[in-house]
Amino acid sequence: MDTNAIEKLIKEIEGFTPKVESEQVGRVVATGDGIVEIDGLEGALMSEVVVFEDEGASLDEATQDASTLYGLILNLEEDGVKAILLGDASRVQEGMTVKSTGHVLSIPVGEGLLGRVVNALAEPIDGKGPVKGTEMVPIERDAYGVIDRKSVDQPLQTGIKAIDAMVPIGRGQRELIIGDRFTGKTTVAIDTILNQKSEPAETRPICIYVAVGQKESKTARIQSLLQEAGAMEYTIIVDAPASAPAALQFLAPFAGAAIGEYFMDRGKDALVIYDDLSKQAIAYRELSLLLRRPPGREAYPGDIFYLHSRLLERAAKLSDEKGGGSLTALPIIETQEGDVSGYIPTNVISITDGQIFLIADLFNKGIRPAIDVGISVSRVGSAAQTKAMKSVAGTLRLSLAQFRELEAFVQFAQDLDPETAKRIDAGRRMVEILKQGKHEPLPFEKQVVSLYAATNGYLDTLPIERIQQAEGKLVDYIEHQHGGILESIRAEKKITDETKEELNAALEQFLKANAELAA
Amino acid sequence: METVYTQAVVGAVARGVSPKDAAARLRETLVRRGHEQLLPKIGRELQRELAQQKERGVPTLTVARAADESSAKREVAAVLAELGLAPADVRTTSDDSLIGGWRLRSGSIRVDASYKKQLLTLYRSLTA
Repeated sequence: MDTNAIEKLIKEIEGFTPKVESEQVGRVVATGDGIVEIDGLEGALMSEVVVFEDEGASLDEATQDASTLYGLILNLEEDGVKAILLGDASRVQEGMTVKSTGHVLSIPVGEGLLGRVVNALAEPIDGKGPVKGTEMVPIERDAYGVIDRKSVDQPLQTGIKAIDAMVPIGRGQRELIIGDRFTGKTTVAIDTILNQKSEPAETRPICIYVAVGQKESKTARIQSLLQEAGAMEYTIIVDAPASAPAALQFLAPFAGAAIGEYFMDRGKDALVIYDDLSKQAIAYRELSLLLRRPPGREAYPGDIFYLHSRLLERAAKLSDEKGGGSLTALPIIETQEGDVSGYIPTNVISITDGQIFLIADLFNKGIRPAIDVGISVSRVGSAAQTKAMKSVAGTLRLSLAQFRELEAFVQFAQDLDPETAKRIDAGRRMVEILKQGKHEPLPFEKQVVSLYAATNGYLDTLPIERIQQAEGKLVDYIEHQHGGILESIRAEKKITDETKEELNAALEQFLKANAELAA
Repeated sequence: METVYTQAVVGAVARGVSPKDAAARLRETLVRRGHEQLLPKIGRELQRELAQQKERGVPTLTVARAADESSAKREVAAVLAELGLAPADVRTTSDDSLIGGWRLRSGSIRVDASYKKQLLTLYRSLTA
């Protein structure tokens, strides 16, 4: 130990003033399944944090305790309180003393969390040491009011053509991703995070991925993927795996929101992904039943809607007076057998500003991302789209809707009139162009070029099965031979007349140089 | 359900019903509702409730060693006065894990002036 450290210790000891204060305490009456019944604590507050102490432990034992064991009061009853444990339940014994802290649950937030994996209490779990430079904020707080907000007007580019073209998401919006298991919901969310790498650093949103009730192997795979892509530098992962107590799975989304709000309050943009809220609802149901709260529909507690509404209302686009920051939320809900009329799905659909439906049938047919654009909607709409994208994607949704109607008809009809055949062919090409590889997000200027080529007939001569290959080559060609086009679209956010001329010429050249694609 | 019955009995006694009458009414209710099999559990709950009430009701002064009792009582006199307790009401116990000093507990209030607490606070501030 060096002299500086010894001097610091001496100074601390000399300056130490013992304080004798009265404390509010209670005693553990019963414990089980992560719930503790406490006798006493008459002055306890709702959602107050309490600390479990072993009064009989020696000083040596007390200093060796790795971490303080906390609880969160969720039931205030006539003759006691009930709390959920925020740690190892095996450390609690009947008769233990419980001390009131006088404050609600808070977590550390700050720039130091970037690139880290933390648990629902924002404690690091990635083995990279303590998190530095943080401040404590309550895990729950009231959402901003109407006056402090402004309309969503800036796009959040997901890098997925089908979404950015037809179901555009704006910064500050809540867009639900909903579908059965293994339909690509998490892939849509992760691709959105990966795509932010192509945003300039000053406007790039901070991404927070909240894993609730997921397999640890899945979260580890996601972390590894983000690390390899260089996306972890602007991402924080909040992990409450399936093996975590229900209390932490219930709290994790709120922690994610609190972390996102830290950046939003400082004028930055943040994106929080809740994967998934169905599991949070299940964890909250478990806690509520153990707390003996009356069960309602499907045994969920009566305030299950409020659980999600107060979480999702914290996403906002702030007014310029408040710094202009934003928090975009992408909650994920898993349906069973495509039943979107279930209790939790309908609740969250009514809260969010739109939904992206992922359909298992489309996924199994190879249409990936398996987005059903007919029933997917963004209530923010084109207010969150650049002019460039609006110009190429304007009629896309209608064309696809017409194609879907005709597609069913064509299965039974023998002869088709030329107009119908043309529409079906165009629709099939459009479906093909909207397909995208897993973890291959496309920056918006490349999407514009790709969709421009498709909607202006440049790919009509190609066989449908070669469209994806042609698209890849086309985007590469434009990037390497006509980079100015992409630069112009990126900078101006629209297709100027000069850019249009240049793009048309470039597309003609590409088709001539790649005539074998049409063969 | 036994908790509900226990609380009902305790509440009745607190309102002035005699324990004998409360027990008779409890038995009548259990028989009428067909819940006689809950009687042993209710009995255990009542025992536990009474033990807790007794525990809550008796202020306890804990010292590290029996020899420290008189000095602790002198130091704690002002605190007892603030809490409206007479020194004679206080039960004294010893716990050598305190190392020195004293700890007073009355109901939901605890005042801890033990050496263990001070040392633990100092340790946590040094290692924070």
